[in-house]
Amino acid sequence: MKAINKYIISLFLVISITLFASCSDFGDMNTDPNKITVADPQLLLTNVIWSMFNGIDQNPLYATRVLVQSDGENSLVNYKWDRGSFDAYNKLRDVVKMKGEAEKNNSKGYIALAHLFRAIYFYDLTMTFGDVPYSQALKGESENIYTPSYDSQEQIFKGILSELKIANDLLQSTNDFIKGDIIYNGNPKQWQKAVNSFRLKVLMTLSNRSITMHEIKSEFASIVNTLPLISSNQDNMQIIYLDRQGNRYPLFNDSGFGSGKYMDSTFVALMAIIKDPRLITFVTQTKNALDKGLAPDNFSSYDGGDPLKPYATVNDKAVAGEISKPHSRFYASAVNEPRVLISYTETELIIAEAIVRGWLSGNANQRYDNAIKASFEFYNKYVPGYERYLNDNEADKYIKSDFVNFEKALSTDKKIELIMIQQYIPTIFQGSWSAYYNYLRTGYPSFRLAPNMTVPTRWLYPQSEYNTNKENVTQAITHQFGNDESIRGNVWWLN
Amino acid sequence: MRRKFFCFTVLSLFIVFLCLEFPLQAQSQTLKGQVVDNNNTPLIGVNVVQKGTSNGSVTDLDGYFSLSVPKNAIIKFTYISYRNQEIIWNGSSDLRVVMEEDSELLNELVVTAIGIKQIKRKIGYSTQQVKENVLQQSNPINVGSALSGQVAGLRITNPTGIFQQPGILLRGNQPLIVVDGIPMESDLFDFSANNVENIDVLKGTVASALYGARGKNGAIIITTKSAKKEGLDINFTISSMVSAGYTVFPKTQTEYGSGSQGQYEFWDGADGGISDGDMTWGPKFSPGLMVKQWNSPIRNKKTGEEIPWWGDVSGSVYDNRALYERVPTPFVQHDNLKEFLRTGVISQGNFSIANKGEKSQTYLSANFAHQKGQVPNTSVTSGGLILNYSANLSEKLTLSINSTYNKVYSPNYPRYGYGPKNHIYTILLWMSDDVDIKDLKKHMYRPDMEGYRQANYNYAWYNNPYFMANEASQNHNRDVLSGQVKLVYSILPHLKIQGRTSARVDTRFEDMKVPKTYMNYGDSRVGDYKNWNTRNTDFNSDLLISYEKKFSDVIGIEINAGASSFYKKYDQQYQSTDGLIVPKVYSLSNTVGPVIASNYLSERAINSVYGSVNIDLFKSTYLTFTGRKDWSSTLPVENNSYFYPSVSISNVLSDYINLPKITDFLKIYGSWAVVSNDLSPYRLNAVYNKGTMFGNYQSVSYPGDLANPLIEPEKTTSYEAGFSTSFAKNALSLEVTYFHNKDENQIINLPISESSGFKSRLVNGNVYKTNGFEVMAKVKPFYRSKFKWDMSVNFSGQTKRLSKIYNDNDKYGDLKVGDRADAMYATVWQKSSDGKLILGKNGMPIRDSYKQFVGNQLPDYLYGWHNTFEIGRFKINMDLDGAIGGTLISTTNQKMWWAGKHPKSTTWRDAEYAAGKPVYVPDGVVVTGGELKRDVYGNTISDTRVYEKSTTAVSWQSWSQNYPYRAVVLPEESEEFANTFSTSFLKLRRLALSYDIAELVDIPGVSKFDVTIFGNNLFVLKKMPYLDPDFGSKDNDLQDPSARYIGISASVSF
Repeated sequence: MKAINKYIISLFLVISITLFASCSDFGDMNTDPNKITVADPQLLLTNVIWSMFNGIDQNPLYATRVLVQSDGENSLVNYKWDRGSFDAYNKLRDVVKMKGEAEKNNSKGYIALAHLFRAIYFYDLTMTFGDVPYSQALKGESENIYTPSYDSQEQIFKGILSELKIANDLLQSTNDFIKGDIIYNGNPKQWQKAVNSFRLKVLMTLSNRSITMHEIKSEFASIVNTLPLISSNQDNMQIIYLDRQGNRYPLFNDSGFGSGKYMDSTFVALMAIIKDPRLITFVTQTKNALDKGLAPDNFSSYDGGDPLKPYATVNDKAVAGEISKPHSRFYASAVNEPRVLISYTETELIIAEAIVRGWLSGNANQRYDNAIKASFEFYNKYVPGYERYLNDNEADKYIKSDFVNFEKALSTDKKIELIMIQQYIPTIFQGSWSAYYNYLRTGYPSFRLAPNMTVPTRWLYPQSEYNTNKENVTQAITHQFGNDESIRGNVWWLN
Repeated sequence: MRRKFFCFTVLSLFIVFLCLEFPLQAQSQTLKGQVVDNNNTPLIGVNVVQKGTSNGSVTDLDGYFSLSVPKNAIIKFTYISYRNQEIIWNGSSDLRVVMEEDSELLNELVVTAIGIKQIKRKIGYSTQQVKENVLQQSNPINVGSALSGQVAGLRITNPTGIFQQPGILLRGNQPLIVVDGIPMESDLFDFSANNVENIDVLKGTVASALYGARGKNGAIIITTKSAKKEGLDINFTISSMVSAGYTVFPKTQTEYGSGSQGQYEFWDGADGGISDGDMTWGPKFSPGLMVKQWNSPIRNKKTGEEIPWWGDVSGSVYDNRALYERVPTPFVQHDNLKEFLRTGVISQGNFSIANKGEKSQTYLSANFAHQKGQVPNTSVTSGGLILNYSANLSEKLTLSINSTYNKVYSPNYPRYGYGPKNHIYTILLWMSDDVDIKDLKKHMYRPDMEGYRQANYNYAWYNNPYFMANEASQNHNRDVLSGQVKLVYSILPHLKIQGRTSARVDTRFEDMKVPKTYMNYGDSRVGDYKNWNTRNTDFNSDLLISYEKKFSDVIGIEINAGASSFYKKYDQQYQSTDGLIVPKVYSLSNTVGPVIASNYLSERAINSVYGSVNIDLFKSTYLTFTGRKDWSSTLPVENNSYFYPSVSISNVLSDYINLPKITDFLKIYGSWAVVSNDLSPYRLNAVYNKGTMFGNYQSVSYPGDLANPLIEPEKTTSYEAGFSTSFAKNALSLEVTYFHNKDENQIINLPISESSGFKSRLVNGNVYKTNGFEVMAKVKPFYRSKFKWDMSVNFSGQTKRLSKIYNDNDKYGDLKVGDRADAMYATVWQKSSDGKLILGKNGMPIRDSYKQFVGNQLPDYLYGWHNTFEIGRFKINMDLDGAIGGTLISTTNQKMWWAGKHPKSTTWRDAEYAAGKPVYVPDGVVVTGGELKRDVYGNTISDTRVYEKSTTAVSWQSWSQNYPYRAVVLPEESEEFANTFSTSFLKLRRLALSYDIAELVDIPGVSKFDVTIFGNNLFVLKKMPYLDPDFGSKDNDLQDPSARYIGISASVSF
């Protein structure tokens, strides 16, 4: 028994020694072995690009009279939206980290791309709200700035343009392959083209700013005349989706298409008038047209719902089998067409507009035709099965048709309208607000509005800003709109 | 016989005493006597005192005492755990005093933190014990459910579906679960109620201060059975119950079918026909009505040939509307939910064998439980073995071994929550009654695509419920192995040392099989196979030294000192196909794309030293001091240790103050403690998370919550005070507790401006204050030999309020200072200054762009009421419990309105369809002038609005899909359209009738043969329609109908 007792006592001793020996030293137990703390910029770049292209916002389609909803009131269709989102800042976080990691080795390519992505996101942010935090933004970690002050829209535009210039200069001076690039396969020269095309877009956004017009015009002309621009569909800043988990077309399997989502009569009517065959790839024939067995290029087999009527009325028309729905390929195909941030078509149309506006000399008609042909080529390539409607011959025929032909447009206003229609069409399921901003800027293409109906110029700041950054947001509101924040407030870029 | 004689003697003496007169003063004589208990066992150490003097004595080893007192003196006998007794001495020389045991309330042995057993009278905080018989009465498959309504301050939310875990909140927080001294994480499915001896609920922070951070919210201490009585004890219990109807069954309208605006025609189930994508706003069921449906035959328009068909035609030759059409079939109503659900069955068996000898005890038990779910093709089986063994290795050394193995297995259990994976979502909300569910059962696949495409009435949002139940499955297979070795060594009579080590390994394999065309957000539509391997390992070791010494009658002391170490490791591997090539082959190699895999590991450790000192003073005052210091692996090294002190006092006032005779005892108590808390692993430093893999490019992303390497532990200061008392020999006993917690230095993800690049940062901040009370009462309204009625009632309430926000900010999320922590702010409709609904020019309501307070989520009060009637040999148990207050924004109600399934959604349909235009004019006002000015938080600055009554008729369907759906409507705003309700309820939890057959028939060898007939979840009174509030607010309140269960159980002891 005594022997046992000895064992027992030693056991207690062992337990107590183990217990007391290392009370506070846990080694690296609190370090996650599966996570990294330092990342190569290429790992961040892939994520930055993917998060920029993943997801297709359908809201602009409601606001630009492309879609209507038959099962509930849609605040976008009625222009009664309220608050916008600051989510762009969350996406910018990885851009900041990428820039930080790249600066350690002075990797010019990544630094340049960081400036480009900042420009793209801040452009979106300021277009959405007006003044937003810019110079003090994104410094939560580096400088402990948790309540950034707001910059005026004018300052932000200046910043965007200067960052884009820096991006161009950096890309000009490097030939280093940019790893992790899922857009241009690491070619800095193609990125440079995208940067400059985007600069044109930013500058064109300010076409209503008479005060700064001189600088805008000269900068625009100098870019077009001296720097590389997107010059074919191969240069499009676009992502080609893959049929792999997590890489598929963002609307693949989206149930939302299965009920209540119909086409707006504004869009369908416009496309039918100009007999645009791209419509066939965008929308379905109405139920009645299908029952009758009408051919796809019979434009009378398409129709839409009236955005101004109560949605129950749209539903009645749907019940009667007289409304087209978005094409089933949008949710049935895992790949579909790429999502494009800035394209050859858009670049050419911006330049055409600049020529029409007299910002520089050139052949606007040629640019306009190039843009349309490129758009046909784009859909023909990525939406298989529509070759007979979208081949080069069809594109040529379309360019020459009555309602499209640029030569037949005599007034500047008419020319701008034609350009805007062609800017509008390729925004279908691209998640871009460009068409809406173009409408605010030019008034084209004309949207169906009720008497006294006006369209909003912006969104209200997120409620979270009132909770977390009250002083600064209040100041920004006072600076821009006096006391009252409204979605129809007067924003700098439109004046 | 002897006892009767004794009673007779005492009584006679008493009468004699009353009749005779005595001189006022008498000389002291020597009183000799013996003190025994009810069982005639001598009581040692009983205090015998002449009342009003210091003249006293103590009984010896055989219960004898002697004391010199005058005749007629009042002699007072006091003894711990026994009721005080006073006797007037008549001078007889051989006095025999029988002391009655004190109220259970004071005598109960409570297992307190770190396993120290203590009698209740010494405890200075609130605890409550739930006994074996209560736990087994309801034969729960999950022991958590058995605690419903049993314990003041403990809220159990009972799910209605199979294998759903009950929610357990103690004083509003999740308590620690401790089984035989080992803190553990468990959903309690891996634990049989039959093996539970009792459950002690340590309610407050003080009670479980010795468990450190993990016990910060109180603890539920489960003690498993061991051999109790000498010799062999064999026990066999079986029970079986079946669902018998429903306590709550949701109602839906049964007059209208699929479609919209009264119209419907099926083509592709995705809006390709007439409103065949969604909704139950279609045609009215009327005799003779023929409609093209999902199961209508297909007809060749040219040849007239008819082909039987189920489902859509996409991709088939029939997908040509110019050539083919569906042939209309009768449009009739079906009772689909009732048809779909089957009778649930729960069967359980338990066998135990216990043997207690002189030196050792062994308890071995095997248990088995099987539940067949109400949803087709679902079941859960659990089973286990438990071995408890202890032996006195020597006079000084005791060894205990405890080992258990449990298996929990479900080949398939239902998927809950809002989405197409859930049968309730599908059938209750979105499937219209025209769909014949029996036909969906017969035809799970489309005729031409067996294995490849389900046959269904809808292809946009929903699954065929039978296809979902039979072809998709999720499997859960868990093995839990745990063991504990404990050694207790009594070094000296007053000093012992205890060492203990335990391990618990929970290994799980889970997989999910998804057939082609199965619809679930996040799952592949071309079939999918996923599996998870998880291992959860816990190690606990501790060492405890106890010293106990009674120095005199006045003072006694007990000291415990110990140390413990806790280590936990969690790791998981996940792998999944990216689409299946061959249908129904659920293998990772049958994948279309590359296999997707990931792994996760986390570790955490806490080392601690602790001690407690109990001081007994004057046998009536008990002081306990405890202290514990923890070192946590999850905190920064410089802040990683914290100290918890606690003090508690208990005072049995009735031991030294004369209270009215009716009072059995009165105990008052109070306590104070400070505890701290750490945080989950890996939160001090930000690391990159894995991002999307695009093609062959890997990526990472940076988290949006700013880490804080300087974070400090959380701190909670708590005090509580209370009393317990009992009257008229326990005819009424009462325990009342008040408690207050102050939570500060909370580790919070403080929201910051998103423009900083981060959503939140980790800080110490915010102060919450919780005030609460608990009342427990036991009453014996009738107590005769033929009829006994025991009643216990508990009532509790608490509120936790946000009393300070980090940096004195105005708001924390939606909450402002003074709000309850469970306050809900939600989108509401705009209302006029006098509360009338504001409508737009189109007659529709307008959403307020500022969220408003709509109620508090948690109930204000909880109560339980338990009755036991013993009528002859019958025993009846009746348990009721419920809650008062709490608010639920009911997703089910909102969606039923939107879908057109809500019973009230039929009101204006006929009138409107007959008129061909809107006829319903909602009650509300339109703004005709003036304006409302508000500050940034939505508070009114000025309001000059003027109104007139709205006269615009609106589409009934549009109204129903907006007003009761898109914002909160409280019953006080509109009884008809309310979607947010009080969660108050009263439930008849169980009714049981037991009878011991062994008392009636003498079966050789059988000592007890109890048969019980019982019913669970029998009846509920509530304010919320269609739902059982007992379920809580989980899963978007989408719940299975709350089934009533009736059953029978038999328990035989040999």
